[in-house]
Amino acid sequence: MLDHVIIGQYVPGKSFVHRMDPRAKLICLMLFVVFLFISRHPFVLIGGLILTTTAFYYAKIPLRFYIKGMRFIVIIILFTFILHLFLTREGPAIFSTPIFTIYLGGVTQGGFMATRLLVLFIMASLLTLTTTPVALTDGLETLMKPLKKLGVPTHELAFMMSIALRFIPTLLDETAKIIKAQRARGANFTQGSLWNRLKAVIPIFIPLFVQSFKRAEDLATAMEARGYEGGEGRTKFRLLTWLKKDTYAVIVFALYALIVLIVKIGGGN
Amino acid sequence: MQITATDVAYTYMKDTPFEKKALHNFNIRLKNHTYTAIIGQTGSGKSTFVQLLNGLLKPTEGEVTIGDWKIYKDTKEKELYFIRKRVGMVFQFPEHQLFDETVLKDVMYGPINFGKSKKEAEEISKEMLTLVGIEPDLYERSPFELSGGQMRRVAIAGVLAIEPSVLILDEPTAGLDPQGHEGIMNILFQWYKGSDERSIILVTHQMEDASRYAEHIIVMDKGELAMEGTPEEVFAQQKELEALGLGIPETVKLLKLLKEKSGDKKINTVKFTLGDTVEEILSFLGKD
Ligand SMILES: Nc1ncnc2c1ncn2[C@@H]1O[C@H](COP(=O)(O)OP(=O)(O)OP(=O)(O)O)[C@@H](O)[C@H]1O
Ligand SMILES: [Mg+2]
Repeated sequence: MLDHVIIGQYVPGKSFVHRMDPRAKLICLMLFVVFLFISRHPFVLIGGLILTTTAFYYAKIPLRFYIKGMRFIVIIILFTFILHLFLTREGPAIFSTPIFTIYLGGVTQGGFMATRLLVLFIMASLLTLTTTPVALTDGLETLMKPLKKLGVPTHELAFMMSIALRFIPTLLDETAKIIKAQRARGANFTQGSLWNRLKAVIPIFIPLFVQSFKRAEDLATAMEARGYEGGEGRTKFRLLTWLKKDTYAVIVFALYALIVLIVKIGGGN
Repeated sequence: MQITATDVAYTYMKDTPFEKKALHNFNIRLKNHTYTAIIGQTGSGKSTFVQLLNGLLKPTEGEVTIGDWKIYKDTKEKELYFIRKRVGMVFQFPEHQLFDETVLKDVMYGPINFGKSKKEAEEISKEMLTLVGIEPDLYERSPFELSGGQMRRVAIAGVLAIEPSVLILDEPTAGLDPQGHEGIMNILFQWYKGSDERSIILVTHQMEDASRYAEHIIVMDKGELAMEGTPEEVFAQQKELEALGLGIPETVKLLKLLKEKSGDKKINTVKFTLGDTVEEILSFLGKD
């Protein structure tokens, strides 16, 4: 059941995108997200589509696996599309029944929003699919460094994130195990009234919480025993290396940003 | 209940880059009322196999039968529910499944799920708690206030209270001290002897347990059946076992060494209890 969730999962690989510096990936993603949403011009969306397809191609994620993991997202996107379809009243009517009418504006708006979301999600998922959690937090920490001057505890934030990321698979594993143990004792999560199904979840959450607290305590003790004292003066074991291709990738995304800006200023929407 | 597996295969995360074949070409037949031990190196597929026996996993190929029930790829969850009533499962670190306010309530969770009335459930739960050696003054305590060994016993009682015919134990004593280990193994054996409808399937890394309690041993290697037979048959094949990264019980090792060093061909090396081993040594010394 939990086998096919691809959100936050890392797929080992040696593709171009896998080998990029996490900082470069983060910068590209940030540029992409901000500028994709700045303008509603079709060019912007088409550009985004092209970038996404290219990035996806270079990430070499197995397509079948990816599509399987996307099911949930596709449902959300379809839902958005349908909402727009029925609620937008612009342009000529193209289909009408006594109960509702669908306008051309609804189709284009819905299609536009759905594509935007899809592109956004694919790009964001590529980041986590091709970057180990450790690299991701290292990248974030370095990028956030300027904020340290303003008193933001950047090391602690990044460290918290890396611990959280580190324990997501453990937690999923543990959940799967506890679900199995309770199912072996006759628990039934798929039948009965809503109330009964909600109640059936208690025997899973309580052991999960108990385990998590225990683990947190153990982790804290282990860190203290090994002399952890926070970020001050800590050196890094893994060093990030910025290569030429990282610069190129950032340039491509910066160009995209520039084009969007020009379209925005020139085109007015 | 009779258990069979026919051409069973299981693949984790099929159709993903993480795909992992954990079991293939697996065929097995277990008679009614047997104590079976499954041994094999870590990762050989022991846990995967036993989870197929009560439908926590469904075979990707082949079929498993438990008495009159069949488990195959498309078996419905509803049928599996009935199978789980007959086939109880104690996981490694079963105390991780405890959740209820009191010890007694936690043990009653299983029987109530399987349709027992509150009164019946309470009765059978108390009986099983007594069997595993939990005193009545602990019944109203929170299970989280018990010692590790006590928690383990309560969790096992929680599975026994379902009144299964087949009990699957996946390393039930991992992390316990020798005394705790011995205690739980004896309780489980006692349960097994309690009725001739009961069977046990024990996954273990301890050859001593496999030889002392089991009547039948299954040796697994890389998701396949490597060897099968009585403890005497299996542990006579030291070389083959070692090739699979497995050892033989200490008692057998001792007698083998004695046989080798003394050159006395009459020594029977396949003895599994301390008592039998001492007898063998005494008769070697000519002092019986
Ligand atoms: N949830 C899972 N997802 C993917 N692969 C798994 C999963 N569980 C087990 N495996 C893999 O299947 C194979 C068999 O695992 P299994 O747990 O059955 O071994 P085992 O014999 O019980 O080992 P151990 O003695 O360490 O408990 C291993 O290679 C393991 O990595
Ligand atoms: Mg195992």
